Amino acid sequence: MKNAKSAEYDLVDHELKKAFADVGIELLKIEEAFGRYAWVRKEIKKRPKEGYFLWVKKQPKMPISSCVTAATKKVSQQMTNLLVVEEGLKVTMLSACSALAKNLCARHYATGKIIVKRGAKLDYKSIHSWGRDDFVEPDYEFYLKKDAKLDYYYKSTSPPKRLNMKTTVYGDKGSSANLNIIANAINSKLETSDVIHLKGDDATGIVRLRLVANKSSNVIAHSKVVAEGAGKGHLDCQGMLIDKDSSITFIPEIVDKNKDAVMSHEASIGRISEYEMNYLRSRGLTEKEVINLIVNGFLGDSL
Amino acid sequence: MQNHAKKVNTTLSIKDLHVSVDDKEVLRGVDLDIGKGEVHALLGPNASGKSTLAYAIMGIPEYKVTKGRIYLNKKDLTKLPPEGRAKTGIALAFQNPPVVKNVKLGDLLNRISNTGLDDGISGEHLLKRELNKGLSGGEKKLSELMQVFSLKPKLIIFDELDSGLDIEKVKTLTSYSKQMLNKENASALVITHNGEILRFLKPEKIHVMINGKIICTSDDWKTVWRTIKRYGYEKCKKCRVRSS
Repeated sequence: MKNAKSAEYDLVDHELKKAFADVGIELLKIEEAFGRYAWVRKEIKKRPKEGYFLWVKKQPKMPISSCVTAATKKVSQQMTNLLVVEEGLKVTMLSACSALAKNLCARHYATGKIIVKRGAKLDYKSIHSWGRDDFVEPDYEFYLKKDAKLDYYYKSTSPPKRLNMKTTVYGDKGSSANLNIIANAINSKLETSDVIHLKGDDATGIVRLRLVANKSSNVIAHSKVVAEGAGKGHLDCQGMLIDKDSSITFIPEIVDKNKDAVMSHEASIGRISEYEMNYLRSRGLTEKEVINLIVNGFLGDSL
Repeated sequence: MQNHAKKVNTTLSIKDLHVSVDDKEVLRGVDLDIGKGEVHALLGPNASGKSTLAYAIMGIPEYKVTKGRIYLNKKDLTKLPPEGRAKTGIALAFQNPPVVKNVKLGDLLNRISNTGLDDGISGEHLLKRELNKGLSGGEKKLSELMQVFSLKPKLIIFDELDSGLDIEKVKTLTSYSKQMLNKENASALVITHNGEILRFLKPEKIHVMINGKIICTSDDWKTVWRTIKRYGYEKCKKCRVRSS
């Protein structure tokens, strides 16, 4: 059977279940890459424990996937990942991180560095699905070289107890970054911090947040664009508050250091009105079904 | 009042219904029976309680029944929530349907439809639109009809189906509604204060509501409407065809 992926990395707890890559893609354990390449040691300062090194040197025919799973109680994963996309290539990365059960009390820390070289395009889709007692802390940095493009989608389909997520983008001249961060917090604490640095002229950066707080959740989102060059930046933060015991805080920040930069932001937090609720209930939907329908619509089918 | 000679099975039966909104009594003892397959019209001036009756039948929580009973095919619905009433067979086409952001009409119909979409009316262009967002008056009414008929209800309440529409649109939507009601052998309560819709609907009975009470019921909608048109609703209180 023909393989539908150009490379695949599959880790369960700390055990590497699968690692293969087509010709033109180098896939190594990050520890090995750290020992083998001096430039990797420059990119990753601290000796890594586990994670992947993916170096895409030729145009892949299919998407690249990584799958990291927590399977045993109280497992603590400390991932360090490095992805490099060479000049002019177009790469789709599908990343899934999840817990096999809802009650594992797993810990998942991930730091990642993604370098998209000149004129390359990276479509990065990340889906998280965690248990109700898990603690998750991803911290990713994207380096977009001249004219590179990044479309980044993060969606949390089943939230952990606590999610602290940092996303930082450094965009050189002519680069573009679209960040879409979508999460439905249910009985959880979610804190996101995303920053796009528009370093070069004509760089663009757009952040689109869609965050829902339900069942005593606390959501805090810091979102920032810094224009150093004459770029364009926009923040679009929308939240939906479902119950009276939850809260959402948006902190959008635009920093303009260049008189020719164009920066804007919008932020809103809404709720489901009684009239909407009753209208949809009159169509035969229960309160819970109405909430699901509206929340799913709000979060959209981005992935 | 002329008695309805034909013996029909009663679909909706309302007995001595009293309804309060924010502790203010709006309906003050409403009795109403609608037979299977019958279309009844309910007329009345603004703030007479017509829409309150519609919401109370649908079970909208802020319309509190303080006394009386609502039955559908002899089943007591009075304490059922709106979704329970919808599942039992009641549907309400809202006068002012709300915008529901991020929910497409097509997605809602897929969720609620009992038998799939009927192709008797051309509303396909609305399926990918957000519910009631940016729709014209006619499109909103069309969306309402698509929703209520997809539920295959036994009784449909049309709350001011004709409001804000030109006569051609009223004719089109009424004709479609009549056709669907006949097909499903469903009953209807049509709330209006504009008699034009009656010409197309030709209801079996007409009721006039004033100050939270039905003060007139008749089989002769033409005479009732002519009287209202000529003399206004005050005349209904003294009218010869007024019910006892």
